[in-house]
Amino acid sequence: MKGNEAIAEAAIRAGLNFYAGYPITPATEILEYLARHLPVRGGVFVQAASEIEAINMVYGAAAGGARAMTSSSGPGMSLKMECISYIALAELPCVIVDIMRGGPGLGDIQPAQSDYFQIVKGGGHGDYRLIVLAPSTVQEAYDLTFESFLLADRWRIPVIILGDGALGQVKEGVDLYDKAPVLFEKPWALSGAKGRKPNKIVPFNLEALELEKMNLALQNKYRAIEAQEVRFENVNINSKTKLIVVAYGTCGRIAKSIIKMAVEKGLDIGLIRLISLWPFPHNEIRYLARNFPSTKFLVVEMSAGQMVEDVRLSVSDDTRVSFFGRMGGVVPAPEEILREIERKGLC
Amino acid sequence: MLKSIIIAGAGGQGNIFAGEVFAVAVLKENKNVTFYPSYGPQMRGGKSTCTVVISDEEIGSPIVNTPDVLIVMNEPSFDFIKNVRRDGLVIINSSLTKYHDCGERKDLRIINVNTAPILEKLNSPKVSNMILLGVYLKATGIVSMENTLAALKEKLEEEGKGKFLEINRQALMVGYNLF
Amino acid sequence: MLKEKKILSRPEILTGAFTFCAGCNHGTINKLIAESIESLGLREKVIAVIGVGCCSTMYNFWDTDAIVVPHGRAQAVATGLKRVHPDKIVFTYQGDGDLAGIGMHEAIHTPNRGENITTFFINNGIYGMTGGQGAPTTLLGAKTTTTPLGRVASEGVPIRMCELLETLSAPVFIQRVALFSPAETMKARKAIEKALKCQVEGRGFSFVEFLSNCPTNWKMTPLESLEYVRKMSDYFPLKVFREPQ
Repeated sequence: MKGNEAIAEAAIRAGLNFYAGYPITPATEILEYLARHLPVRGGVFVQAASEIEAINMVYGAAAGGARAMTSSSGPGMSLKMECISYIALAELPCVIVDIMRGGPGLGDIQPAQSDYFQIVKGGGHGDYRLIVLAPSTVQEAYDLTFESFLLADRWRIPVIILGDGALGQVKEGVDLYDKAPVLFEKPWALSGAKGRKPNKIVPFNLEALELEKMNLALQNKYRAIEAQEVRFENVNINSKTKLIVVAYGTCGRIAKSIIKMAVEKGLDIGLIRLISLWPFPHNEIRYLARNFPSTKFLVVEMSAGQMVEDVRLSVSDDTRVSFFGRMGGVVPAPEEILREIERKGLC
Repeated sequence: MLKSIIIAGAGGQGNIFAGEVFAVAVLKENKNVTFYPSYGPQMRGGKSTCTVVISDEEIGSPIVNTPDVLIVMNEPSFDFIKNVRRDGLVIINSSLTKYHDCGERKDLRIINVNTAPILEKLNSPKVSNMILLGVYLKATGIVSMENTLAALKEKLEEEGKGKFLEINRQALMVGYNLF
Repeated sequence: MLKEKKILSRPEILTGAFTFCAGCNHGTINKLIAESIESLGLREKVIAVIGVGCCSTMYNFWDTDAIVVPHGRAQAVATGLKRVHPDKIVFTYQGDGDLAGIGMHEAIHTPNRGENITTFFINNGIYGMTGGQGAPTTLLGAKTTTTPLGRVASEGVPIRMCELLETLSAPVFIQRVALFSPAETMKARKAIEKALKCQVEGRGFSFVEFLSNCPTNWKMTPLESLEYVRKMSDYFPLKVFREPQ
């Protein structure tokens, strides 16, 4: 099954009620799969007339208490940012799938990771955060998408599934396990105020002190999420490890190939593969940097270097952090990264 | 075990389809597989390539620069020859290519397949992809014909093209029994 | 013996004081919509989708479920809500900038899909909340802060939304009304009720355009502003453009 299809199937099985989307390569298969399957399996499908219309429909459906999702790529995400900011302050749950491609501008349709800043650090206006999960295999894309609806509902926050064109297009065997989705009561949802006080969803307040209170509530929530939802995978990290690769998504799985090749050459290379980009595993990286004081870090991204800034922040020693990146939709080969490691004497 | 194959050709030749059939066959043998397609933007013609990686263990990168096997479906795909791993295998659709050997790469094992007369006998211009897939299966023994045929049936029926099963099966068998 | 009998009261849906300017038609329109909702017994089914403009503060005194949405996107949000709650009554309340400017995309595509919602379009030919700039429906020659010499055609000819929607086959009810006289106000009240009934009966998309005033930014007294609205109706004819079948 293709990455995109696995994501769509997981959403349906997680109880997706409403999907609105717009065609954009390399995410279009999600739209098409849901067009075929969602209506016959109990959900609403709408092809919106624009990316902006799609996210605003999701805002409405989420406000109504439904499990709602949209999907897009870089240029579409740029358009959606205003509404995402609204949804964040309104504290509504929804899932947004972003299958990244080369940019900036119209860019190309090949895989890239150059939207890390846009998605993880903001993109929209105001002090808000979104949970960002980065699957690296089709199975993980299925697993994380299924779980994202639960996370979104539990924390009342948009969850982004951040993939790239390679993940979207690669086909692998997937175990589509049958698991009943955990559903949440939503007493805050809009559904006609029968037998209860009316609910208002109002992401604004002209009284600064009141808006500050709303922001403080958000910040409290974010601290709780940071304490509970950090995810990552450690591979081959021990006291002998000379170099730790830090990567996510497709680069995460490419890094696993690097480690295999390195082992054959007798090199001690490990990997921390990030699964949650927000909350970022700052504590884990800090711990690794302190506990293995002579170990270096190599951040690998399909970008000019975005996630590397967060790694530098956590390691707090620039001499220990290097970066390898390809831009514009080019996917690096494990061999070229290994050559670079050897050339720079990082290991 | 970790093996990789790239099928390279033009859009419309069924390269992607052949790769998918092969990938499903690998799944049936309970091995890990990744299938990764690469297209040009055109709806017809243009480039059409796919990479299949097979392994007993978890697969790292689904994209491979130095494949073990290369199937060359048309002339421009000869570019990939230089990337093939040392002592690798190259299967060439020689009816559509000018060169029939691989220049300096004396280490490569080369199989030229003249598909034109076969296609004429089968009375179908479209099944070169299956012929070459058959050749590949025989040359490497990597998956069984039984599983490949089952995968072929599945994929065709998935796309509502079950009526093409027989001709594809024949092409596959002819390729398999060629060498 | 005299008995007390209530013959007129403020709709119960409306709680608290309006925050609109004195003499603004928003107040009247709010009241008419609230009355209609109550007389049709829809109070517990209503979800109000409120656009960005002077109307944004409506949620403060509307005792129904409500949501404030990004500028121009009310009809998209309403679509999402109605699709997941088809039995509820979802209406959008939008000004001229919200609907005919930034929201023009949704203003065409939502009716075009025949979404079973109601849009109340408040057209006063000016951007009120932000201090009186020109709007897509500002009349030619009218002076606003961004058309200080009077609007000219190269800045955009005022758009007639009802006429535009008439070219789409999907909307089931389209009417333009105004409130500059008791007679017109009664027509407005009837139009609102007809529109909501369309939604209740599941007929499709209903649209009521209100020619409205802005005494504050037009720099007129409320009475003068109503006269101006009467003039507006020469350019924006008051009539039914499509009757529900």
